[in-house]
Amino acid sequence: MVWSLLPVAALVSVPLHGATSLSFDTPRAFGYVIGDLIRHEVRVETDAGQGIEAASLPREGWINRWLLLRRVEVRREGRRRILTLEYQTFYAPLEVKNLTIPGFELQLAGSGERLAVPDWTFTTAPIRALSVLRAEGPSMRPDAAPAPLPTLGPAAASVGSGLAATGALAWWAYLSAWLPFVSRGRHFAEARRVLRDLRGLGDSREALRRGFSCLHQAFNRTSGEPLFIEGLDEFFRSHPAYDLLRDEIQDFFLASYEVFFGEGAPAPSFDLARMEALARSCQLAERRRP
Amino acid sequence: MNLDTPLADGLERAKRFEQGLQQVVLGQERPIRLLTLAVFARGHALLEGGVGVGKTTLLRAVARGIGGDYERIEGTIDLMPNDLVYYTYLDEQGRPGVAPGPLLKHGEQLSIFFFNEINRARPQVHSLLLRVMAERCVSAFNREYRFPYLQVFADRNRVEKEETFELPAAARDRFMLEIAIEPPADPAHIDRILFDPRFYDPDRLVASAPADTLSFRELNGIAEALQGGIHVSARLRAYVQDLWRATRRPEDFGIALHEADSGDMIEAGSSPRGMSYLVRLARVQAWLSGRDRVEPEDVQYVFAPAVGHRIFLKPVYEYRRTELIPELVGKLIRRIAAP
Repeated sequence: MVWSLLPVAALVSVPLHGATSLSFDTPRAFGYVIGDLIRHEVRVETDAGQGIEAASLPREGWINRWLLLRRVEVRREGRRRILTLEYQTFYAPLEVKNLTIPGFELQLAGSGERLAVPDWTFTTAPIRALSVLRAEGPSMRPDAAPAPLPTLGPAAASVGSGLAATGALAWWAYLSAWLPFVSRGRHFAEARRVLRDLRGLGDSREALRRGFSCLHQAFNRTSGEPLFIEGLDEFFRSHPAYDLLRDEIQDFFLASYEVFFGEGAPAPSFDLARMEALARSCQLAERRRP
Repeated sequence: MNLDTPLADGLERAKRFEQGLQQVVLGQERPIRLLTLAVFARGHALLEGGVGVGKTTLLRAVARGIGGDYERIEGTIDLMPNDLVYYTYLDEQGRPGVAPGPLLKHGEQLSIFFFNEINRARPQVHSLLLRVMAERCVSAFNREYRFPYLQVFADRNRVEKEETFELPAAARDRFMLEIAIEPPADPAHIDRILFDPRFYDPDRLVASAPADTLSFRELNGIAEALQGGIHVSARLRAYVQDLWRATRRPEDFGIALHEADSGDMIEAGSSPRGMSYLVRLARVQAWLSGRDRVEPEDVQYVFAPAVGHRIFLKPVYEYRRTELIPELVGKLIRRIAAP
């Protein structure tokens, strides 16, 4: 019952002579414990809208041993001046006790009129009984363990951006040809695989044709366009690594032309084993390439 | 090489013929080789080049080497087909007369007919020429004249475009080769052409060329024997077919031009006749290189002059033909693998 009235602030109006009025707005006067904040509001209204002499305002800081004035603020609303005071009590009572915040005098600017702000008494209480034993009831408890911070999002984000960065780096390396060794000589490696598979067929005409074809393909892919006998000199110029194999490669082309464009030509001196050796040499030449 | 004796003998004379031409016109090895190919493949050739690069001299030397009669006519805008067939005159008694024109007056002896500036003549003349080239005969004076040894060489000046009639596709297709003649590039050749008095008088220059190294009556026989005697392997046939398909749809072979999307650039690729000419020329080139079989290099050597003028572009691209066609043809040769 009583508690339901608590929010209702007591308003003390001090009628003054003339047209000046002072009202003192205070909160509930009981139920305070150590560390509580107490807010007072003093409204001064004059006909002329005079201000308050700054020197007459209470000073922020310790008022006495247990009372701290934390904040003093004056604001203006029309002809009214509103003075806000914020106190904090540090009194640690052993039992319920009345305390008094001392009053003070305000002086109006200009007229020098003095207005008294009265004392304000409130009741403060201890937080707990003096003789409470640890075992008997509420006492100091250990701090609650802090809740873990949500780390799933940042973890996922860093894994994701790590992957993206790796991918971008790989792409960049690919674009700037940092990994040439991966693809080096792979055309000839492929040709060697085909030639190995053809071993079983012996040096039949069909096997030879397929062997020549796959090695030709390797040369075509290496040079970037089909390579014909006429283009060999140009090829050796642009691919100097193969220059050591010049004679063997030329023999290969001559023999291949014999097989593909000759008419019933005799079996050329270039057999599958020689082709495989050539493919191997070319692969090594490609690896050694600067 | 195991060529039959007539072919071996022909080869030796062909070499002499080619060397004779090279003494008359300097620095034109490739056009001369192409003309020699045209002579032995029995095809007509269109020469294209600037003025004064030696086209006429070259053709006169060819005519001299082949033997037979040579006739030349200038294409003009008012030239009509009849002007080739007959002309009318008044004789000494004042009686009107009609005599065979330049095309007919030599009869069967006519071996080379040179049409100068063919694009100045009207389409009517082109169509008469078309028949002469395709069938080697023409109807006049109520009978048919046949020219079994005739080869038509035409010349197109590419400097001027005013008052000219572009050759229709059908007429261009009947030319086996379109030979571009550029001024010589070798300073030694230019020096001789400019300062050696031998090159000042074209008549004397042509007269200095060896005469009748070939006999025009034998050429048809040699050409036939040659086409039968030079071997074309299955792989090479496939290569030529690939080339042909690529002239129609280059994008299927992964060929695209830098500036133009070749997918919708080509109106019509090479004709079957064109590819047949290509094979014939490649056989002659193989023969002149002393081989009895055709290799991809032979096809590549004649591909541009034999096929380039048969690829027709969409009208939008036709204006840039002189840039696009060499690029396209070059890519076709370089991108399509033979073996």
